[in-house]
Amino acid sequence: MEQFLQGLLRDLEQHCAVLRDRLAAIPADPELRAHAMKAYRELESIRREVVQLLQDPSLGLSILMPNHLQVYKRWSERVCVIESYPFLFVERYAPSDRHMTRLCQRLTSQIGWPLPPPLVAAFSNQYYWTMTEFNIICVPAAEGASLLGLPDLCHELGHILHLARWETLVGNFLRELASYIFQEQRRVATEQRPTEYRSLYTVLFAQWEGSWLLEFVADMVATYLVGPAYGWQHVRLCASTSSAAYHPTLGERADHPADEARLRGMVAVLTHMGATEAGARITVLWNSYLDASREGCPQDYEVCYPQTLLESLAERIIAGCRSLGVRGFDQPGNPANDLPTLFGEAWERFLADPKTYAAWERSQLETLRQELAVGT
Amino acid sequence: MSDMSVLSHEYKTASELSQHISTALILLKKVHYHLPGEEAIRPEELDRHRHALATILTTLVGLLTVPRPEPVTSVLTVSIPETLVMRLQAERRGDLIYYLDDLAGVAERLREQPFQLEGADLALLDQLATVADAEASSVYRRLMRI
Repeated sequence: MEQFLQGLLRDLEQHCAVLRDRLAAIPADPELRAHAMKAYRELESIRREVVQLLQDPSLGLSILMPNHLQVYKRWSERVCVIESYPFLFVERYAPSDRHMTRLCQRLTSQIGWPLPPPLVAAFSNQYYWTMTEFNIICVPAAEGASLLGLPDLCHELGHILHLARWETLVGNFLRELASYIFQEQRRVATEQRPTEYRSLYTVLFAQWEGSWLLEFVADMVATYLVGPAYGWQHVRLCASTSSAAYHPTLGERADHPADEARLRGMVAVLTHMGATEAGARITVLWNSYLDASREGCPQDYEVCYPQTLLESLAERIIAGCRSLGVRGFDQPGNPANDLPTLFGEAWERFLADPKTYAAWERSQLETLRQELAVGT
Repeated sequence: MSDMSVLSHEYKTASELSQHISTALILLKKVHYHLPGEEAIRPEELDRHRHALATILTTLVGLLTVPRPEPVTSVLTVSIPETLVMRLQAERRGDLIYYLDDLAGVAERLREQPFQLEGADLALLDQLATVADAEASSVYRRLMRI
């Protein structure tokens, strides 16, 4: 095993060097510079650590073998993650990526984004996603050719902001969540709930803390940024992906909270920002969608997503964004080229007259394309 | 929006925790067993890892306590994934209170009496490193669809 681990380490060192050199060979491009440099530095840092371990006289001692193997695995995984994500974004940067990156740059500059603008690639096979630590976002190939789905870009921005400004956005919400779970568990103790519910509440807390909170925060930041357009897009996405609106409920597991609860979170933000009527309109459409898809609310569903928690989180997100100086949809920018305004207008036109919408959208996208192409 | 965003976050958390524990454990073993390379370890480097590991253990004890009295918050530079907590709770269901006591004891010695660390303490940390490694590998495979 000792010789094998040494071989693995040498192979990893070589792999780092290959990726590093390919990054260095990419022609200089101001849009890629920060991301290329970050990937380069990290690869070189891992390569040096590998070299250092190869020179360590303790390498190969049986007492340290499991630990050295664990360290090797983490390095190897990290290199593979860099190769699979930021490296690809940078090395294969294409015109459609540049368009989306510039669109995102314009958006972030208009809303007073407190972080560097992300690099956006348009080759996703998993809808929109982000890797927050690399400040990259991936979107489907043709997203630049439509306006309706672009509010989802703000959801990914929400993930990035959440990671960078956790305290400001969320504060002590987890404490509030834990108090709620504790109260529910006391109901088990006082026999208001079956005893088997105790472990369900533990799992519920774990899901909120582990992933649901991330999604609610990203949704609420997106709603804060572009307003009703994000709520409308949520209904559109649900209708097109056909996932169950009330899944997961108590006792079920999923990385994302239920779409119904997510929508209530968005409406809570709209209401707290004064767009009560827009929230009500979205809710009406949503209820029609639920009727049409024959979805009913399962037992104990409300326990998972109490309205009071969603309201509290919405208030925290709005206050957090305001304190960061991020502009909300309730403070319109320059109507001539303001992207949040454009997303909102696109949705209002689409809802008012879907027949004429396509022609209007084409002309808007062409103007946008010309403006963003300047300097190419 | 897709699971990728959540998974990448989960992976980062699990990976950093595993790396922290393994790296600290290598240093502790080198010093405890006087292994080759011990002389190259700077005291401040050892102290930093020792205290960080103690904080991880203390936080873990809070997270593993059932029922959790209130959310365990700390100044950890690395987070502890909830899935790892649940994995440990499942694995140590039979002797959880003794396990918590052991973890708290090791945390105390790491913080206050590093020279009284014993082989059994390092074995306990080794078990934890193995669980953290398994958790990181598991999330990694889901992230990379392996």
